[in-house]
Amino acid sequence: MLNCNEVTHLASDHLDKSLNWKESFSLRMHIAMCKHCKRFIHHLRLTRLCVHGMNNNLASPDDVKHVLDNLPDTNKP
Amino acid sequence: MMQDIPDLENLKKQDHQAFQRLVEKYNRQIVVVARAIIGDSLAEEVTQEAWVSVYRALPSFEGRSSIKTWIFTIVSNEAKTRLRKESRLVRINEMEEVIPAYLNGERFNNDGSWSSPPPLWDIESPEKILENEQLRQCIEKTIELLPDVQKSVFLLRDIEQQSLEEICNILDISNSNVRVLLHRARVRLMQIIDQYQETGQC
Repeated sequence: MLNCNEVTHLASDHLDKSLNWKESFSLRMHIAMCKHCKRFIHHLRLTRLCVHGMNNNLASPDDVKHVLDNLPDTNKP
Repeated sequence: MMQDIPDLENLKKQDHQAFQRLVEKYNRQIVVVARAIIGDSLAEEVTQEAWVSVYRALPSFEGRSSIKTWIFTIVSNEAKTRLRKESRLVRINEMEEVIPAYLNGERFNNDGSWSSPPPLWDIESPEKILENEQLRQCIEKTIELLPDVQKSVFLLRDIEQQSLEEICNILDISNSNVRVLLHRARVRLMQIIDQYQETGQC
């Protein structure tokens, strides 16, 4: 049986489905009974969803210009 | 807001605008990957070389992987080649960085039960969290300040949705290290959100 500290360490592997059958089963058993660990995993999942929603930062115009300006002349678009 | 899917047809023709959009979309990520492999001082140079390689190779891109995985592989190869040439550089061991409190044992009793369990969150949806400008900035700043390799693992996985196996190949680190670094990064961000929800600042 996993304790809470161990569950915390396995939480990301649980979200990424990287746990083996036995670990996965133990973890599910634990969170079915432990509201704190259940919350920990819920919050970790929310955190991951948040950063996925931040996938819209473009490079600065200066950086882009730097890359394009430094293409060798023969390759310049 | 979702970005457009890269315009493969025009990219293969080395169309200027399509290439510019590709650079806009991926330059930040490429610098992060380069930095994780070769360190800060040469990251920009390697990034520039990688873009030249990408540009030259575009007409022969066959689509066996997604274009972003293909680009990450090119920058990874450029950085690894450069690393071999610069023998004086030693890769930083980031396994020794500060461990988030959730993972260093300080929130648990000796028997492994919680002594300081996770606090409730008032803001409970990803959309609401991101709508909060201050909190959003806290998250962005925390990502920015992650150690180089950890940041790269995190960005490739949770933002760019690369598989663990692809990340191992791109960064040349073991599967178990990828998982440990990824977990630390996620937990560090979660702690920042905890802190914000408890105190209103971070």
